[in-house]
Amino acid sequence: MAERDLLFHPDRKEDRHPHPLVGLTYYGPYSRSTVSSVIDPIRVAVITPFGGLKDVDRLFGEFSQKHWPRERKNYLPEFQGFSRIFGLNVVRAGVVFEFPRELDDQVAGADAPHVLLAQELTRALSAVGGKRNEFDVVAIYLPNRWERGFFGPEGDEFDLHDYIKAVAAVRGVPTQVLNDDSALAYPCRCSVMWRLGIAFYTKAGGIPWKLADTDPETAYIGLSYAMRQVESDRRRYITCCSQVFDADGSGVEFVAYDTADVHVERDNPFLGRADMRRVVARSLALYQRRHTGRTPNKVVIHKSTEFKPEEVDGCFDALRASEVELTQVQQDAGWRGVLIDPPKVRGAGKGAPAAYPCERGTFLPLDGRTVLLWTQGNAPRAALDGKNFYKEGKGIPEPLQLKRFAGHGSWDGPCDSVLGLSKMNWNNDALYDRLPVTMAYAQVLARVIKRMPSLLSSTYQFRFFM
Amino acid sequence: MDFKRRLYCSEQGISLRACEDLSNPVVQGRIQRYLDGRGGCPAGGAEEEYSHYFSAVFPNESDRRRYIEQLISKATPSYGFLALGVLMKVGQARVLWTTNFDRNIEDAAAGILKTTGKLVVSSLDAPGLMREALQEGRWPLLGKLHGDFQSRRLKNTSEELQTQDAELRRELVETCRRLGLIVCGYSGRDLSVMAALEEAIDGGRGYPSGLFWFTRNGASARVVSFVEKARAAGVDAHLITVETFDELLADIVAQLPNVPKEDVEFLNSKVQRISEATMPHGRGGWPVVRLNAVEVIKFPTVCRVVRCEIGGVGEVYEAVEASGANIVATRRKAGVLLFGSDAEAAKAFGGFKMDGSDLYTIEPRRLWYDSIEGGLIYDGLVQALVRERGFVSERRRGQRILRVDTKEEGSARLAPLKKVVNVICGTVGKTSVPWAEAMEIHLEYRMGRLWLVIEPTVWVGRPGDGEREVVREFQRERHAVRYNRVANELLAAWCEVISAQQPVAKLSAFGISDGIDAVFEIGDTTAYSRRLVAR
Repeated sequence: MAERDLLFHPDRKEDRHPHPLVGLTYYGPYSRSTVSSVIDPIRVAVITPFGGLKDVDRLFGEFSQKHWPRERKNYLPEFQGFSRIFGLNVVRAGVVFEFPRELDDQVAGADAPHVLLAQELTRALSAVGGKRNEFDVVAIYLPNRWERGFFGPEGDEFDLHDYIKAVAAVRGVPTQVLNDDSALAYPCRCSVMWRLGIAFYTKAGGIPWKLADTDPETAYIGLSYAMRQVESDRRRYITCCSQVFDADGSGVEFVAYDTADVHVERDNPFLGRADMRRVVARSLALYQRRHTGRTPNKVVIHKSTEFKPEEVDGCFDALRASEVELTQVQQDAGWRGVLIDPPKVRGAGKGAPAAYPCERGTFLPLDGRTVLLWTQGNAPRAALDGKNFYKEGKGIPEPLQLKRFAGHGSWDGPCDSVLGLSKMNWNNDALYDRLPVTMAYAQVLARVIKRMPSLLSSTYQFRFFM
Repeated sequence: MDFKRRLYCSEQGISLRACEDLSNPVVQGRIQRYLDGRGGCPAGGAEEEYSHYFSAVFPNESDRRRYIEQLISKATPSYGFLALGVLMKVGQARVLWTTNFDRNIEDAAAGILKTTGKLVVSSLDAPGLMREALQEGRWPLLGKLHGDFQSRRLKNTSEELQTQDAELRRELVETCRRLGLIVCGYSGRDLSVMAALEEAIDGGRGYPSGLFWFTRNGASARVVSFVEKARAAGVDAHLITVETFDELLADIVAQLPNVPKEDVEFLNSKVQRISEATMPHGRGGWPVVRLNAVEVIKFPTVCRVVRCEIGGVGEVYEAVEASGANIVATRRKAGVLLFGSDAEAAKAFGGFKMDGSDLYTIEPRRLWYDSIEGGLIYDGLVQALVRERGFVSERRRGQRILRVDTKEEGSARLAPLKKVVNVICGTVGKTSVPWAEAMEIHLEYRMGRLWLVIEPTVWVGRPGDGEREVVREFQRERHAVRYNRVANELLAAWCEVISAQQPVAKLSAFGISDGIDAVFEIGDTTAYSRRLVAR
């Protein structure tokens, strides 16, 4: 299956490229030519440790410069400057929250540094949130010297990054965490600029690219579950999250829904028929709100666990007016493949293992309902030199196993859509993720949602969680 | 919002695609600002918005009809409409009113009532039908306040709406005076309909069975005031939030005790939901994908079943462990299923009032999915590999990892592995954590055959304080260099170790002559697939 093209303009179908960064360089972002385009400049508020503002300002200064890659040279194009690529500027806003110098000592000496940092950052987010109309995104600088507070002690699942997202999402504030290792002091500035550039643009409401050549009448839904424990209560809640996407991979909104009607098998919750009907009906309503009440001809639902018969019934109840495809997308089914090239001399019998692994886009049916799909692997079409590009660069790629629980027809359609959706994570500068965005976002959501004290409204925008 | 968008895009000369997401507040805001500045448009959210923009975008009735036809041509009744059909059938929804043009209600009624004759439909073409049917008590009734999209007298813009057909409107008032009313999915924007509903309050005499207005996210001021007015007049009136029409109707039907069985079945009816994808055929060519699986040619088709007084699977595992019996066992309703000698079985379960034992047939279809029997066969195979090939087994994430035994490091049977990776076990540098070459195994039943799926990996022991990162890095590095060529050699080496260089390796879990053993025959050729269209 060929590498899918991405689209960089709503009308000009020729503004397309399989490589996201090359496409951005040539054509600029998709939403530059739409009504919802981001307002110039993107204003970034800053939460910083004492004395950290100059480091953050230096970073913002770099956005206007050119940068050449020092790594991934067969993939990364030159970064030609934020305004040249995105058609607008990114600036540090006047809203700055600087922690006092004492906090550094307190973090270094605290028995529970993660609790201290969580409290202080919540306070800072509240203060900054009071000036919400003066910025678009908040950058939060977490220096290495606070490292001991980034995670909880052994046995405590606390993760400061996820905690920040949960707190900020409730306040409707998109955030970008800046670390020393991955941003401020990372050696390849070209990588950092691409990553942060796309992240700021997306979090400010922009759409960098969409998938080309999609069926506009198809909707995708990713289902995931999070188990939440409410502090004041000993009961465990299962939150069912449903992310809804257009066929072109955009439209990242989701509904979250608390339920009790589940049964748990080996730590995996499964919904009852009525709850599945409810959550899918709400997802459909979300799609319809974007599309003048239109019901999609086809709805594809992805989930990491199998679909139980009750769940299948619930999906069909809610989607009577559409064709339904239910697919389990499994990551660790255990299958691997080694690529064997033909023998050097024609007819000389056995082949020999290839220098590069299986190509991304290879699919191999295991039976009428199961197929292996390589979303990782060699991607020559995205290589800057046109030869080979193996993103992982380690070991051999692991295929996904897709298992069909409803749907008809050959494997081309399901494989093509999973492959396409694996290119739609806008919080990334890579060619693809291993998982389609329906599942990749699900994992992030599950992590963040379980830290939220309560679910606020019924709809969220994903950019608050990225 | 669609009409506003069409107007905006046509006047601004931009494509509809550049203005795609109508739920985006930025898009909504920009369009509204344009229209506000343009003049001649009602304020955002005003009652006459819909009719104003509809007639602005489609001034001709025929264009409006075409637009609506296009919108609803693909409409098929959702679950909620079918549930509404059931309510009609059991007499819980006798009179229905709609402002929609589509035929969802009629289609759902035809599906449930099995005829198109029972539902009396009164639209603008035949308003008298409603009165007649009401007088004669012919249920169910449907009044289409804005007409049918096939009806010539399509009502859709303010001018037309305001002169709502007097006769239909009178019947609406009449029915509301005699019955209760549930409103769902209606914004309350038509002045004439709202005036009719208000008239029916009739000083508190109307809506004798109550008034329930369902809304998704807040009702308009007009609706709120209407409900308040009704309540003030003494009507049992409520404004209720609900997520979707389908959810509401499903919840209502679920509360009805008298839904006929055939209707429950109809609601739950299953069309053909899945079909097998055709397997590709043809000769295929290069390159080839070599898979990490070898065929399990023979596997047990019977095991022992022991009837005794013991609890679930957990208790069975505990009993085996506590007794030290050399068996593998699990639990089904029929009894304890196991492989092993009868004496060892008695050792484990003798204390649980054993009441006879028998043979138990393992149907091959049980191996198609994650079944109890499949789990027992898996455990039997693990035991056979441990016994005959000297591996050490460990359970991780519900799967088994088989690692080379450090005591066997020099053994000739592990030579194929050594040839590929040189060292097959040891201690992770700067720690006291042991490591060893290992494989995670799975059993998969595909295309009518059972496959042993082998995932080569590196096993590490439990790291102590501060050792975790070093150990993880060691594991990562060792995996990282196993590129395509090495992965191929490693896979071949593991197959050789398992097969002990025989074309078909025979392995048994216990090597016993009494009781039931788990005996396997495993091939030495890995599964592979050719490229369908040669490069």
